[in-house]
Amino acid sequence: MRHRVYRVNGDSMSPWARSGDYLVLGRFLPRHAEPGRVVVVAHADLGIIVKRIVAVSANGGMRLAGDAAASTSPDTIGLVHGEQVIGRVLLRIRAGASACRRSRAARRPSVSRTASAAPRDSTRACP
Amino acid sequence: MLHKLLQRLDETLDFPQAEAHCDIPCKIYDPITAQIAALTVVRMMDLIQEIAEAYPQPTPADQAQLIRLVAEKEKHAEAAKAEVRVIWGDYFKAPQFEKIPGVHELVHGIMLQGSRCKQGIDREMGLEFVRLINNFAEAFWQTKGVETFTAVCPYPPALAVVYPKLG
Repeated sequence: MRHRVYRVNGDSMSPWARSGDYLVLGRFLPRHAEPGRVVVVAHADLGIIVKRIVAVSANGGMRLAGDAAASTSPDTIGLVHGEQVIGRVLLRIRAGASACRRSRAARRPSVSRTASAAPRDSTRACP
Repeated sequence: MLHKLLQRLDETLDFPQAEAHCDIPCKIYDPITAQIAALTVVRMMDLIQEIAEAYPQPTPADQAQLIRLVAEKEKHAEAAKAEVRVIWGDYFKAPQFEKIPGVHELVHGIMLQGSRCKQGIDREMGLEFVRLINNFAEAFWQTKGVETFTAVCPYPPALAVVYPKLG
């Protein structure tokens, strides 16, 4: 993996991540392909994108979606495979919000997510 | 705190971007809309000049027509700028920038020239606007590996326009 830190451009992952936030990536392994996890992907048509895994097929193909309603649809993105994934998001560093607000924004009730799949919030230590 | 630190590092290291666009990338890009808009700017300048010369004592109808022409000139100058911005901002990526190293300066020049056309009715400004957008069209088609040719558009203001050789 060439880069470990990425800058978010756009708001399709809002409110979880907004334009200008930074993402710290870790290596992506097949066992990391699970719904709820946020990944950065080198997409043939869309370039380098950040999206959330919403479903995984039997052969490991992943359907991705943005958190915002206006995001590019999973059908437009198409199935993504492990070799296209640059990394899984380990840490998200947000701009200009208090620690507590950041922590609340990280919750996303519409996607079931296991604890292991949830990217670690940089503000998790917030009381 | 951590974000500010990363921002400072970003200024030096230039972290890559992960796109989180909401746009549907339709991939439909063609500079012809910008070229037609730029031609329209020149045409509006010509028509404004005609009114000024033909009616030194303008009637309310002439004035109303003049207002329409000025509004259209403004609208099309802005439309040409917007079309160029979208192609440069959405279509051009690293491979295209490598192919056309001077495109940033060219696009910036188009933005400034479009504004000059909005500010006045100097036809020379309009002609330069068309010329710059033709250069942009040529560069765009070059990134696609499509040859171009120049021909005079078969309608007023009858200026040279860069077209792609498609077929």
